[in-house]
Amino acid sequence: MKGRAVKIKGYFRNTENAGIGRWILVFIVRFTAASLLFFILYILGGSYYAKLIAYGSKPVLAVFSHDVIVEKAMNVTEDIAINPVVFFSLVAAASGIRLKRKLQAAALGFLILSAANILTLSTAFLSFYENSETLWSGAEFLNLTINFFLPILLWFALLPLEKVLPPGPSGKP
Amino acid sequence: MKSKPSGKRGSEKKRIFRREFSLFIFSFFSIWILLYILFRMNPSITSSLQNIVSKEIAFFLRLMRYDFDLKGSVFIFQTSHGIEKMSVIAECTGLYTTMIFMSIIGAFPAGISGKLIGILIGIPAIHILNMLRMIFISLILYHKRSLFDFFHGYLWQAGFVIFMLILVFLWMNKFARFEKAESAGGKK
Repeated sequence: MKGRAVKIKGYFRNTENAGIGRWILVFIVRFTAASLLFFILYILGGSYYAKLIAYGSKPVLAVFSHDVIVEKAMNVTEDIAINPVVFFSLVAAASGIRLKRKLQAAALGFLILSAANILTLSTAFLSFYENSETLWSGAEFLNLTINFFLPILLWFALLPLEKVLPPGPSGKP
Repeated sequence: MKSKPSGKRGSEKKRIFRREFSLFIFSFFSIWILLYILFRMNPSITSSLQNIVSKEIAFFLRLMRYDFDLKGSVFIFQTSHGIEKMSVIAECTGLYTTMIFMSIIGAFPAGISGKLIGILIGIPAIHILNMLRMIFISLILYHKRSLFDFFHGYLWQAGFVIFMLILVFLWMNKFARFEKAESAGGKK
C-alpha cells in the first residue's frame, strides 16, 4: 500500500505528468465555463438556429421532390443542432490563440457543422418519405459522427495544432 | 518578433502533417463505418447490451432504494409528479460512442500494444461514464422532469466529447508517435 502511494506521488512529481495534469485541469475549467455561457445563448437563440437548419434542408429535399414539415423538423433539429455549442466551447477553451484566429475558426466550423446538420436532417426526412431503413441508418450515422466526432475534428483542423495539444514528453506539443 | 517556421523544413513538416492527418481521417472513417455496419447487421448484440445496461442501472437504483418497474429495457418510475417512462435504447448503451473512441485510437499513429492499452482502458471508462450518466438522468427524471432534456441531450454530448478528448490526450502523451513526424521532418 505504501509502495503504491509512493508510486502515485512519484507520478505527479514527474514534471511531464504534472504538466499534462495541470493542462487538462485548466482545459476542463475553461471548457465548462465556456460551455455554460454558450448553452445559455443556445437556450435564448437555439430555436432560431433549429429553424435555420429546417429551412436550410428545404432546397435539398426539393431536389427529391419532397418538402420539410417544419414542426416535425424542429423536434428532430433541437436534438441534432446542439453540436455548435460543443464546438464553440472547445474553441473558447483553447488557450494562447489570438481572438481573430479563434473567431475565424469558429465561423468556418459553424458553417461546416450547419451544412452537416442540414444534410442529417435532409437524410432523416428522406428516410421518412422513402420509408427506407438504409437512409435512416445513414441519418443515424451522420448524427453520431457530427455530434461526437466532427466538433473535435474541426477543432484540431481549424486551430493551430501546437496550441490545442497538451504539452508532450519533451515539453513541446 | 517571432519568425515563422519557413523554408524547406517548415514546408516538409506541413506536408508530413497533412499526409498523417489525411491518413487519420481515412482510417477513422473506415473503422467507424465498418464497426457501425457490423453492429447494424447484428441487432441481437445491441438488444442484449440494452438489457445488460438496463439491469446495471436497475441494480444501482435499487441500492439507492428507488421505486420502479423494469420491463425489458423500459423503466417505469412512480414519481411524485406521476408515472414516467424511460427507454434504454441503443444510443443509451454507450455503444456508438465507444465505437467512435475505438476508431480514433485505431486510426491514430501508434503501436499495436499502445492501441490495445488505449482500447482496454477506454471501453470500461466510457461504460462507467455512461452508467453514471444513466443513473443521474434517471434521478433527474424522478425528481426534476423539467431538467431532463438538458441533462439527457446537452450534458451527455459535451461531457462525452470532453471525456473522450482527455482520454485521447492522456493516451497520446504515452503512446502516440509525434516524434516520428518531427524527426522525419528534421532529417529531410
